[in-house]
Amino acid sequence: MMLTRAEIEVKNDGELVEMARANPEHYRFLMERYQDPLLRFVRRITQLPVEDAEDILQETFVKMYRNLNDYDSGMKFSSWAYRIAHNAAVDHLRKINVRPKQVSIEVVDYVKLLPSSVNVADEIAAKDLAEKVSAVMNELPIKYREVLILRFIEDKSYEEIMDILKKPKGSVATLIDRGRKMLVERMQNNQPL
Amino acid sequence: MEYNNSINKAMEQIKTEHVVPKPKWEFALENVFKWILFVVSGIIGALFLLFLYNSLADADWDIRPRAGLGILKLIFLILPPIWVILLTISVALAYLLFRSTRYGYRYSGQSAFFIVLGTVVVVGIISFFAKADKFVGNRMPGMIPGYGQAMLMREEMWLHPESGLLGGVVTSLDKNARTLTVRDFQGGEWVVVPGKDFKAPRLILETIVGKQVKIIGEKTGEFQFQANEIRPWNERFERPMGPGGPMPMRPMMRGRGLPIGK
Repeated sequence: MMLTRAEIEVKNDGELVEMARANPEHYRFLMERYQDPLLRFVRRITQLPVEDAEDILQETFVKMYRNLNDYDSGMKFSSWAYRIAHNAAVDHLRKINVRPKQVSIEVVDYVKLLPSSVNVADEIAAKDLAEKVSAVMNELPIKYREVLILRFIEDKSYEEIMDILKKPKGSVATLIDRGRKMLVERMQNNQPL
Repeated sequence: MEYNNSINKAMEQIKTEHVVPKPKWEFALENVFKWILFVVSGIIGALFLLFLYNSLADADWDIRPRAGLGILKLIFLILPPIWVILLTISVALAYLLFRSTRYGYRYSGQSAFFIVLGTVVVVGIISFFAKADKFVGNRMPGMIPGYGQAMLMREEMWLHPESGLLGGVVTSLDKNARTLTVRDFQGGEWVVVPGKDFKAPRLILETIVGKQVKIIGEKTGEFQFQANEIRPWNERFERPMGPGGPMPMRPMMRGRGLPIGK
């Protein structure tokens, strides 16, 4: 039975998972739904060029498919998918054993990482500031970088971050708090706001 | 779609490598296996806890001054560090297994620790009422490292007849002469007579021959000892079991001498 794009779009993740379990060809719908957010996420935490990030994404999709029956409704499908992508990205970084390099990716969203007390007057200043934040972010240890990205760039809730990183809520809150302080401190020390 | 590349490559890899989703039962089995291991390590921890509790409860706190032992020294004798370490390892293992279950990571370290500790204590209490302390008292010693050494140290406490502490195995009971013979832990044969204020649990006295006992009293001569009190060696485990659990050791037989010729 052929499904139209509109029909696919109204289906929730759980339904798409069931469809993929029943028919491997339908797994494509899940991948299509998640390819953009996952690729962005992988690039943000690894800071790798798009070709490398795509390799990680491919590996993520294959792992997701292999473990499709491990997903249950105890958590959001997106959290489960992000967890697999996160693990694949971290494994990849460990394997190539390099510090993330700064590559040209969208940086405007990085302003979200700063406390609301930091007022950015215009768009150009915001972009300039975002680039600085992005540069400092690359220097942060990955455990802080990933929670800050998930919380402020990916707009994930604490519960979702807890499921993605497999850490209790308290640890997530502590990491976010410390990461944010570290980011602001480094911004103040190295690149005055 | 901006990056269909990954999707196509993933689909190709799935097809060429014949990747299929792992069956549900494999994940379920893995999860159940972790829970079973958690329960097993919790039970081991609980039995250890019960064992330590029994060891503490069985300690002869009242004879500490007579034996010339400080509190810490006595605790060290009763609870060798290796046992405490083993208890800690089993609790730590239960903790790690709990955290590795499907949603175990959602609990903070503190909550998980208290859940595991609570489980161990509750299982320990259930084991106590389920008469598992019989197993703990009789079987576990053989399985626990350091038990033999700990027993030797404990026996040492009762090798001080000059201080009124004598331990050993009752080898015979002479009802006519109203004496018992006790072989101490160094092989010395002692003749023990009841003193004026003699007391001992009745049930122990009825089946005393062959039993290991602790005697408090006074040395009256070469291998002669006057007993004021006789205690079973492992008080908690030597009680005959009644329908409602261990039968009480009391009433004490006080001032009536050994049940000899009665």
